Amino acid sequence: MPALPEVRLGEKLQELGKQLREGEPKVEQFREAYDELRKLNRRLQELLQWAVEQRRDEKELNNLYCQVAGWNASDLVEHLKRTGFRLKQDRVLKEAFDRQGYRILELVRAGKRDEAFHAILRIFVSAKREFPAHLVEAFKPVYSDTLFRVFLFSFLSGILGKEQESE
Amino acid sequence: MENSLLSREVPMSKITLYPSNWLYNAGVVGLLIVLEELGEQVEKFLIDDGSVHITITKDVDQIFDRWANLSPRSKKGTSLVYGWKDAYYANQTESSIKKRINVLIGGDTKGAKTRQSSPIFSCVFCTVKMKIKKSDATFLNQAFGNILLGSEKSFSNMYWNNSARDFVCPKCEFILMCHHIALTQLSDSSEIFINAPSFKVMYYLNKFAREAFGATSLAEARAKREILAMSVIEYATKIQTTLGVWTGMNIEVVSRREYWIDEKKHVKIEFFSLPYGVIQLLADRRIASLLSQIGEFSILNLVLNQDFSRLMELGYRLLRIGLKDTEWQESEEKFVNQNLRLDRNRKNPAKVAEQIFDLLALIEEKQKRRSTYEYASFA
Ligand SMILES: [Zn+2]
Repeated sequence: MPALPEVRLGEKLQELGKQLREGEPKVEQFREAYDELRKLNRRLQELLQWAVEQRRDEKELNNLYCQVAGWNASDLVEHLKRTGFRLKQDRVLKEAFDRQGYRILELVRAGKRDEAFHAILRIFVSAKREFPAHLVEAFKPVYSDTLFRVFLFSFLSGILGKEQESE
Repeated sequence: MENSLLSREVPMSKITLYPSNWLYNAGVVGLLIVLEELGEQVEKFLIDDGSVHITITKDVDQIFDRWANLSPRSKKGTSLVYGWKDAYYANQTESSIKKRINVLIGGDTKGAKTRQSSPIFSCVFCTVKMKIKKSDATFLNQAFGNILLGSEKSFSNMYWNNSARDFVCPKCEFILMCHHIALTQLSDSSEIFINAPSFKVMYYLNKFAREAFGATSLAEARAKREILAMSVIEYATKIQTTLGVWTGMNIEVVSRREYWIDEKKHVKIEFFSLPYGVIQLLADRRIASLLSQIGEFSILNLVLNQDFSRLMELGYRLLRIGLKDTEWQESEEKFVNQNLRLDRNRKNPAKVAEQIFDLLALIEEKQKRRSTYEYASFA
């Protein structure tokens, strides 16, 4: 039976500690541990979301969910920027966003989440494209207004921008 | 060339020092600069717990010469810090200073007499207690920096303790006389020292401040809190061990400025600091490196003011302007030039906007994390 991810992570951390004491830290293994940790973090966030949906009136649970989600914010910003860059290759989507981009930017700036969501949703529906999962995440009410704006601006700058993705 | 077989054996002395008030701290940092200039590996002396473990392998003459060398001189070449009545360290001579160095590195304690009846004094800097005849004891006075302390009658506002009754133990005397070396002269002619609860933190913060803002550098005049912020950012991005626990304690800029009223010299000492939450943000390596990549003081200042809604608005407007296919209007051009001073940023405001959004996300993450830790520690 394969070990549970949290057991693997615990073992990995011990291994890293040993490496450090012996003076031979390996960067890939730190990276692996970090990826493992982020996966667990995501899973925790999903479980918490589920718990919050079951018990909406438990404030502490909700606070914890907000905190865990906040931890993953800069990750999501990165993903959204890349999603924007990727979708820019799609001519149909790119043209639709170029036409309506400024209006959507305004909606986001004004914090009108629902209207921004519907405007973007309409673009994907009429282009017969799937609504990206990361973008769904960005609209969840758990994120503060600041984060909502940061997410959407990052996505929009990816898809509206002139630059090609670096790296 | 040095011949190790023939060279005179210099006794090694080891001293451990702990942070105290800012004047003493500046003295220790000044001493470290003297030793570094003499070729000692000072960085190895700095301990993560905030103390410093100094090993001195140099003799009194070497230390004195370097100390004198690092100190300012008049146009005629005479020292401004010793050797005459109105020097910075008033009424001090080469031999009186050398005696102090000798005491510090483990020589005799200049023959101070103790008797059974002698009172006990406690050093205001290192807190060591000594039985010493009152006439042999040294008290804080203008010998330790006449400009800084003023005369015994007038320094009451210059220093925290309103009296010349502050006992200075023999080992601390030379340390205090190194404080001027740690001060960074700014282009507005004030002098600053960054004070913190750890010598390692102070050593590096002052080093970075000196390199970026010292009078000889071409940097334009900057507000004291910007200098502090930039130094913390440099620390967070360049030094392996993080600022960690020290961010919860006092990190401040001490500024000394001379001014003249009716041909009488006055000295003003001021303190500048940043709110706890701001230091926490700047000490975060990712936030620090993003801020230094952006390199714009307008953006740094919004972070220092914790004005994140204006930061968001700035990002929004730069993004809008940056996305335009058509030529910018005059007002847009003006907005960009007013807010961004670096050429690479002016050419690509959309990229700056993206960096601002990254920054805002990191700040939000950091604040959430902080509230979690605080919650956890009170639970
Ligand atoms: Zn002392």
